[in-house]
Amino acid sequence: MLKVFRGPNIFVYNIMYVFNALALGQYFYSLLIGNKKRRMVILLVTVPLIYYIINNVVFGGEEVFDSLGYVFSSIAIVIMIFVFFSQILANVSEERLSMNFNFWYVASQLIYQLGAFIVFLTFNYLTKKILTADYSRENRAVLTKLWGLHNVLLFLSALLTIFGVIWISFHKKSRSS
Amino acid sequence: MDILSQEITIILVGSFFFLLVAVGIIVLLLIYQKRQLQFILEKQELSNQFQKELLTTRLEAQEETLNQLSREMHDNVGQLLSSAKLLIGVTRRALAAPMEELQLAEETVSKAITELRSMSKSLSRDWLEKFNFIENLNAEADRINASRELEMTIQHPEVIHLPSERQLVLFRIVQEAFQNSLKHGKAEQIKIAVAQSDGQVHVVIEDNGMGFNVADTSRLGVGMINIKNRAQLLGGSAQWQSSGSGTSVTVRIPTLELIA
Repeated sequence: MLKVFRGPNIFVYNIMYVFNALALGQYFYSLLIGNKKRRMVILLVTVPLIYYIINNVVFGGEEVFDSLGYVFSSIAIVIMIFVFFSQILANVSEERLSMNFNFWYVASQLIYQLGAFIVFLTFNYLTKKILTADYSRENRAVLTKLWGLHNVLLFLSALLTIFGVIWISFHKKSRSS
Repeated sequence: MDILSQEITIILVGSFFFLLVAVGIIVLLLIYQKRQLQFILEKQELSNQFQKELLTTRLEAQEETLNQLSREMHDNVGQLLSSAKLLIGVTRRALAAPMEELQLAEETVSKAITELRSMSKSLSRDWLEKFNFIENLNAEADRINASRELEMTIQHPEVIHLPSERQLVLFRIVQEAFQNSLKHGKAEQIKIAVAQSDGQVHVVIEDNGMGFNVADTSRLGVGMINIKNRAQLLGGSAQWQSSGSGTSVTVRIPTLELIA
């Protein structure tokens, strides 16, 4: 028999930004060329990690969405994305950018991280406001819709990655035939 | 509730703005990279064109030198040899009992004149342009075989479909290749095979000389560079294979129709 977990699932959300930052940090570490850029990636990934340890491990954390952690993680990822883009512009290769999978994936991450930035930034504030002021069905629906916007952005970013994969394989096939 | 609605509207507008910024950055990046790429390709194209023009000019200068050399050989050295032959003849006829050596000298000079004329022809662009590649190749083989220093055999189709100016450049390539076999390879036999297929003319020049190390590019001779340059000028290629028992050069030249 499967046991259904009925406790608060907020810890999953709150650990997600750390995993996100670590995984993308590893990805950008392999993508960026030069020790200076790689040291910067390590530094950027360290910020949300340290914040998480201090906020959740040392101080126990809150049982609400951790906006600050997500904001740190988003800023770190967006900076890494811009560094990657500057690397692309500095080293123009003969290959078209649209034929580079990394470009599509990083572009989709930019759409998600930048598009959902304000949702991340305000979600903690709005949750607390509704919890303390008026915990009505309508207000909770507003929160759900706001998180829905985040989900749409995540879906859009996934679509962009898939589009990139299809675009590359289509052009490779038409070039070879 | 009104304040909450206002805040949600601000969040939505802000998110949309940030999303637009992200899309804008991606589109700008794609456009910028496309333009950069176009610029690089144009630069490369210009550089290639310049190299090609440089190569054409150099080969034209070489061709002009060969033409002048051919004229000099025919008009000056040829005339001197003819005069010498005439004088020997006059002297021989003037003597009551001419020496046998005088007749031998007259025959030798006569042979030298024939040899000089055929060499002059093989160097002259104006002469070569009167014939096609196969005819010139056969004439060259006859000239080489007449000297008995080397045995040259040719396999070829009836005709090859290549514009006349390209045929001349191809002939110069073959000339350069067997000069290499003769001078550096000390070859005694040369086989030339000409074929045309898939919009390309293939010429394989094979000798039984001492060969050389193909991988050692530092020892690339002027002859080999000339062959490569000429093949490149025609949009083709030249490849060498060599061992202790001989060398073979494979030249591939596309027909003009294919390039166009």
